[in-house]
Amino acid sequence: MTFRDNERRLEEGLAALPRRIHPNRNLWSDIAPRLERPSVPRVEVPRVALGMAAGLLLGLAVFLAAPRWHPEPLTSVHSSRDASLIRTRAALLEAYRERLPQMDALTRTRVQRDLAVVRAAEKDLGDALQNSPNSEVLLSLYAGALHQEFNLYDTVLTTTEINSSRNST
Amino acid sequence: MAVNDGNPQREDRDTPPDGLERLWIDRARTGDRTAFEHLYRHRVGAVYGLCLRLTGRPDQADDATQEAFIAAWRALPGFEGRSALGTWLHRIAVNSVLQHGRYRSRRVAVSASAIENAPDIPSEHEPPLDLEAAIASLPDGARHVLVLVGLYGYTHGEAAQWLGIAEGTSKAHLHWARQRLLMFIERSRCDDLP
Repeated sequence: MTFRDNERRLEEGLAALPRRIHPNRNLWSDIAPRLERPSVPRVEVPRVALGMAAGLLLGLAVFLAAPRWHPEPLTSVHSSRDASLIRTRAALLEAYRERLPQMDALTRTRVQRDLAVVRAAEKDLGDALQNSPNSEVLLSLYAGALHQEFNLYDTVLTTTEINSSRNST
Repeated sequence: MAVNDGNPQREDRDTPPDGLERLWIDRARTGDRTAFEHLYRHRVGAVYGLCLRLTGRPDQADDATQEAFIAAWRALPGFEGRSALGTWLHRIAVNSVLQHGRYRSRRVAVSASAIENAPDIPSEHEPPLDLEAAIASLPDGARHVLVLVGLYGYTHGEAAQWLGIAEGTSKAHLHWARQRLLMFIERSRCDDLP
């Protein structure tokens, strides 16, 4: 038997080895519990702003959960939180406006339409709260509308972040 | 190196995701675990096979395969589908093996039961297990290159990039590994003589 024969045997042996081999045990049962939502890189400033927004919403929720302990009207709630809320919303809005052009036209239109609906709801609820400042229902709806607004910003920022990270790879 | 020319496994590896798999990928990207499980079921054989050959140990291959799929889940938003899913998963699997590569203890031969359970190879092509053992006994670097280039048909450039070595080193490893295997075959032949 020559060296070439050995080489041929080696080639044949390697070619015959199975590439697909199934594990002897079910690995999925160990994998599944470790799957969290796909991680998405985020922009620092909007993340901070969203964190602040979450804090503000939490404060509002605390207020809603204990209206009898904090019987001040909405205007006073607003006055104590307005500056922070306005700053947070401004930061988010700036990031949102910066990222919105990166979305395709159809999605952009849809997002703008949804935002207009949410803003209109906030304005209506704000007007109603002028007349009934201690209404728990109105306050709850108002907090919900704010939450939707921030979620909308978050969606735009997250989606465009995914796209930009895909383009950079 | 023409070891894998005409190898159906190579063709399978390079095939772009079909429609159903594309759908699973898109759904898994949005956090759909069921879709990802379909992908896992469809691809686990290819990933585990590579991990088993790279590590030479079923227990290490189990761990590396799990880590590879978890890493793939996390990286899925960045997978555009331009490269073949199989290649993408293999790259992650190699990284997982290297990251997980604290398998410095002497490795044992690839388990015979794992080979017997391999579904895609007709029985008449069943390779001799001693070649499996010979590959598993190679030093890490030589074995890694032999598996990636000699078995799975990746280029030296790809193997070098994935393993973090120079292309020339990859070629040297492959040459050395083949010489060792040829010696092994020659010795086996002599042992078989009456």
